Amino acid sequence: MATLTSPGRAKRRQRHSGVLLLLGPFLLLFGLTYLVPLCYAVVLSFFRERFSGIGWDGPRRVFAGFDNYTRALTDEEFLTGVGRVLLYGGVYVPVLIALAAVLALLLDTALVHARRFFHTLLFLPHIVPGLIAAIIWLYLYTPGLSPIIDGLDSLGWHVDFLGSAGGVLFSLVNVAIWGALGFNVILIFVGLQAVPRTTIDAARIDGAGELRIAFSVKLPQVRPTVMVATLFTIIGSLQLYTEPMILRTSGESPIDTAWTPNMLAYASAFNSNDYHYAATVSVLIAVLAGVLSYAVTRFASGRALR
Amino acid sequence: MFLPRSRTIRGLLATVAAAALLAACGMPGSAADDEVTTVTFWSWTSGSQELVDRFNATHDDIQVAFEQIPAGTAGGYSKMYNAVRAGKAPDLVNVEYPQVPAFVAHNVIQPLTSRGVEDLRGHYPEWAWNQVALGGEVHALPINMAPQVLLYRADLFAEHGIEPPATWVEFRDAAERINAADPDTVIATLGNTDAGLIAGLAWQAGADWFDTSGGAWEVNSTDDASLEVARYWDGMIRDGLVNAEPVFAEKHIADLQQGRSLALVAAPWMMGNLSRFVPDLQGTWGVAQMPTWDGTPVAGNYGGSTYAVPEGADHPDEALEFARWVATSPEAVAAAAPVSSAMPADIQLYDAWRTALEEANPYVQGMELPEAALAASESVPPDWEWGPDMAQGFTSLMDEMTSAVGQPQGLENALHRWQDTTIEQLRIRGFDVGD
Repeated sequence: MATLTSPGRAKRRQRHSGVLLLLGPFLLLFGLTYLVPLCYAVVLSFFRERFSGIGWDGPRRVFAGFDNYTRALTDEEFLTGVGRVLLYGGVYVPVLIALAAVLALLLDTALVHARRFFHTLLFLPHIVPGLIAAIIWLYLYTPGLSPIIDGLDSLGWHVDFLGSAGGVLFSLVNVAIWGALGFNVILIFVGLQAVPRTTIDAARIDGAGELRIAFSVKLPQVRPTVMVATLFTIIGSLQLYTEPMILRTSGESPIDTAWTPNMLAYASAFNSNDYHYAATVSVLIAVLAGVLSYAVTRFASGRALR
Repeated sequence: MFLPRSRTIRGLLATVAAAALLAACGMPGSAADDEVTTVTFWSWTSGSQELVDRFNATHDDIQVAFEQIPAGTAGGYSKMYNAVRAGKAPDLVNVEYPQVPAFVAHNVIQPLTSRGVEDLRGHYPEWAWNQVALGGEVHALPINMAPQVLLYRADLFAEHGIEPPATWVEFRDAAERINAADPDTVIATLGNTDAGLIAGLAWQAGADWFDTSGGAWEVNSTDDASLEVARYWDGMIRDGLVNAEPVFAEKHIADLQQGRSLALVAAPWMMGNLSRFVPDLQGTWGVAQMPTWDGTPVAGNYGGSTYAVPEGADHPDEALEFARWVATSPEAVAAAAPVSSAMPADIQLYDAWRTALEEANPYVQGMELPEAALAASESVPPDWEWGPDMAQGFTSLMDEMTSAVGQPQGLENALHRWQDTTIEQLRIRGFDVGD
């Protein structure tokens, strides 16, 4: 209140410099580690290295205009990669968010006594780094090593977690859900804690059952939280890299070096030394993530307004 | 201000100050004669540290600082590439044969002819020299080579009453007999993601996947020789006569251990893997020449390294002196033998290698590996060339193989698709590619 009632210029300037002082370190790091590399990547994407003849004379760096972009947008590998992460996201995001919401609601209601225990239990996988998780799951997915496959085999079920293109996608979704579920449950659960108890009591007095309260009273009030969780998950799934990279090492899966756009960017940069194309692919993925995030937030706010 | 009271201390300080001043001014001439040049050397191959230690112990004017880097395709090559671009190049790097053209094309390594390496030509088999002499310039020194040989379980072959097969037809007969006697046992395991192995087998059959002799890149992985190789192994895999899976992975090691996979298309360096993964099998291995297609003994090359001097190296001549020492001195062979069974590329080192290996490496004793490797190295066709982007080339071949091996005509289709992708990639990068 004090700031509102003192309109003096000096005071305002002081406040501005205070804001700058507090934001300065963030802006500096943000600029150096985020904006500068981003601009550099955009610049790189408009150039290319051109060899000539047999190539012993070395490459020349030439301005490429939108050549790299046309190349990417007609590159079958890139397009199937994008299709794959979209499909992956299309399965992963709804399943994860729905599961997380249901578990958070359960924690919020019935299992009051065991809440602590389930919190910890659900959160544990989140502590395991994605890389380690992928290695553990690779073990569980590999025929001949996996106790799960052996067990199912003895029941007469022959499953192949890595073999087919569709199968491996679901195996990856499973790894990702295993890792991310706990975090999202907690996120939504915290949102649920903030729902005023009075609203819930009112609904109960009006005769609503637990299910009705959960879906008609609680869930609508945590929509912003759910949207944030969705947004993070979408961006995360576009950047799919570690898990397929690890599963690839088994040599049993159809995952190739350019299986996702991020893997394609990596392979271009570090196998072919084609940093320009790698930058192009990265920029395109960033744009796609931006567009999707925008769409999700628009969708969310549109729904909220109605 | 504090001043030391004692005169001795004051005197000492004065001397130190004077010395520091003189040192700062450089004192021309006084230390130049015994100045030591430090050469930085990047490698990942086993034996590198031993080589450097031996060299440093016996040389005063040049000292080598060895830096262990990740294996080439696991990040080592991009580290070199980036270091050169950033102007922080080391003085000497380890480059495998298939990558030499890419390093030349990207101007990562410098031509060595003007530094006087031509005199070494006679030390090497023609094919090995051809691998480093590109576009009229020598770009690297061959260090070791990897002529293909067949490694087989001598004890179990004897048990089955089978001689090492001389031709691929006999190899298949032997495979059928082994498989018939024990359905769980196969004659060999074929690395289903090992692009270098398939390339080596095509090389053996007389293919030339890349050819620059016409002034442009000719890419041909679908000639009769390559397809014969592909069809042969597709058939072996289809009929369950070989396992197609990663070599030296858990499953393969268990198969080796339990005598369920009896042979390997190999090269001398592979004895190192065997001694590490299946030490118990010491003394059970035999070595033979590769089975042939038409009875004429011939082998492909399957591995091996060169040393090259990056562009922007601070001490190219000193680096080359170390490289020469590694490439041509018996002392270097003796230093590496205890930890590596790789065969020196310099044929004049053959006797030194044989003695050193037999002495230092009990795992290969009595196998007559050097004799077999020497014979194989003399039979490698000299015309094989690698493409200008084999890091990408091998990964994409690996990708094709992973999804195709085990399918009907899997390898054959993989080679067809790989040729198309490779040509397309080279065109995109601007290389001249013939039709």
